[in-house]
Amino acid sequence: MAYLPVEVVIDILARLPVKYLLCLRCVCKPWRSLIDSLDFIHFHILKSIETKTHFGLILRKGFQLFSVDLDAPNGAVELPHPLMSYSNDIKILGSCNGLLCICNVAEDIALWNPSTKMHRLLPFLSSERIRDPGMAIRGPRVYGLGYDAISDDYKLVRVSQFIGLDYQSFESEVKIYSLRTNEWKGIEDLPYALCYTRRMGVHVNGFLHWVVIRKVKVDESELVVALDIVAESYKEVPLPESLNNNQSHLDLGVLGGCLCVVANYREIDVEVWVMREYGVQESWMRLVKLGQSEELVSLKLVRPLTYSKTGDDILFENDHKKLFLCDLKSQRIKDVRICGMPDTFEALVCLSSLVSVNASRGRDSRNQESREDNTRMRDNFLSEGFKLVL
Amino acid sequence: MSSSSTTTTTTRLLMLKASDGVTFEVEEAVATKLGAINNMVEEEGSEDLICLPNVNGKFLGMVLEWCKKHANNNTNSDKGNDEVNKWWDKEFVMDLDQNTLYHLLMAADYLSGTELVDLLTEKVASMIRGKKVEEIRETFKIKSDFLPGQEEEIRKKNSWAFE
Repeated sequence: MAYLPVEVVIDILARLPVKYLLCLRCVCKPWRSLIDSLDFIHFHILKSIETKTHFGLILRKGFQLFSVDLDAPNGAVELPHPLMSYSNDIKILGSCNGLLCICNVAEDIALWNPSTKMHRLLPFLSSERIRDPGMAIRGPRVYGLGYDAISDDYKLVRVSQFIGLDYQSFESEVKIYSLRTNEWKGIEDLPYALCYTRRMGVHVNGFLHWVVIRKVKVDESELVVALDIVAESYKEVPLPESLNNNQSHLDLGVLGGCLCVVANYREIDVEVWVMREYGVQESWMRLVKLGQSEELVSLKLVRPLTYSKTGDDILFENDHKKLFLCDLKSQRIKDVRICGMPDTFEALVCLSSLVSVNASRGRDSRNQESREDNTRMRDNFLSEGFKLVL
Repeated sequence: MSSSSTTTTTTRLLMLKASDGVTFEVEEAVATKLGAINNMVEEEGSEDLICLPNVNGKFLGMVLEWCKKHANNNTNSDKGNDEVNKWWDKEFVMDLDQNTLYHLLMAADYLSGTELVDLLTEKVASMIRGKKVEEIRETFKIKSDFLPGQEEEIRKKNSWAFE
């Protein structure tokens, strides 16, 4: 294979899994620089999405995480994470381009790439302050991890809300962490009330999405609000015209890089819609309609996770207890059992990427190396601690 | 009968001449699946003979065989087309040895046959996946330019990846 043009070599390498690319860093200096470069890391993500490869399923039960390689689902294996759990639950706060944000009971937050095993601890963020303690109580608090393509930055957002004692008024506080600056700052308040504490905002196309209502009121129609990660501003996402959002509860997901809405009609019917072209109302398409069935635990929670490799089926999580595939053509359901899968879990799909958790990503590689060494030392320390707790 | 004669009259034929002088007569619709030839046809217009000094006859022939199959499959607007193409692609790359694959990839890249390059790079990727670093260097004819100890350091840092 002597003297292949460099763009062909890049195209070949972009099809390889992350773990193997970490080995290929020691082929020669030009390959190491290539594999570490931001352009290549980004290209690798695009290629993985295009070819539907390098995706994994993450299952969380309590303080344990498990991963399933969706390219070759051999079984669920435990995925050691970098936080001390103190025998309490680990929460997953966000997922974006192969990075996960996780948090423990002590409110330590780690930005972590499970594929490269690199992580960084975020600076501590104090709990939100109730502006008028006599007048309000703590409401929902949600997070979301998003990507700012303009400044090539990853941002974690925390939205905290307080509900007035009249159960009508509400206030919110929004904090945003930037990996580039390694700092938290406040941004404009979210002018909507969060419906319930869904585990995390859903990231699509540089926007983080949550289900909200305009007013705290019974039977208020649910909406989807999007936070622009670059401009740090909010907008409403148009919903499918024929979706009856005052009769249903909404949930969100991502399928094939597109935003999808799950409309749950009083646990009798569930519809899954996908917005094929971001922001375009006419592009919504209904993919799946499910009724009550013996094959499902219940219709309380039906969450789409990913398309199958052929694109003919969708993998779903059902009530934190089971996984199933739904054939798009016949709408038939098929149970999915994975060896070693916990009995109850929270599931999400995570891309395997080379994205670095260093703030100076790609700018000064020597600096990066030494930082990574520091992280590794902390890794070792923390993993020992983790074993002691277990 | 009459319909087939109209199609033959409207189909323009191009002559492609490889570096070793071998020529191929190909329908324009087939040859323009290659970006480079499409550009030449658009720019130079009337030229019916196109010289390709960077590809020899053997590999140009293989590239054109692939183009022909895909052009034919795409004309019948059958739903199973994608499946047929996929199946045929699999057959096409199945028994290629490394040397042929390399020359074919170079030819496809030179002719800007994007889909074919895609197919061939995927094949190369599947062939090298899991090979040892030394084997990769051999395959790609690369000499390590690390100073003594540097490579060890990289290996040590991600030792788990080498297991």
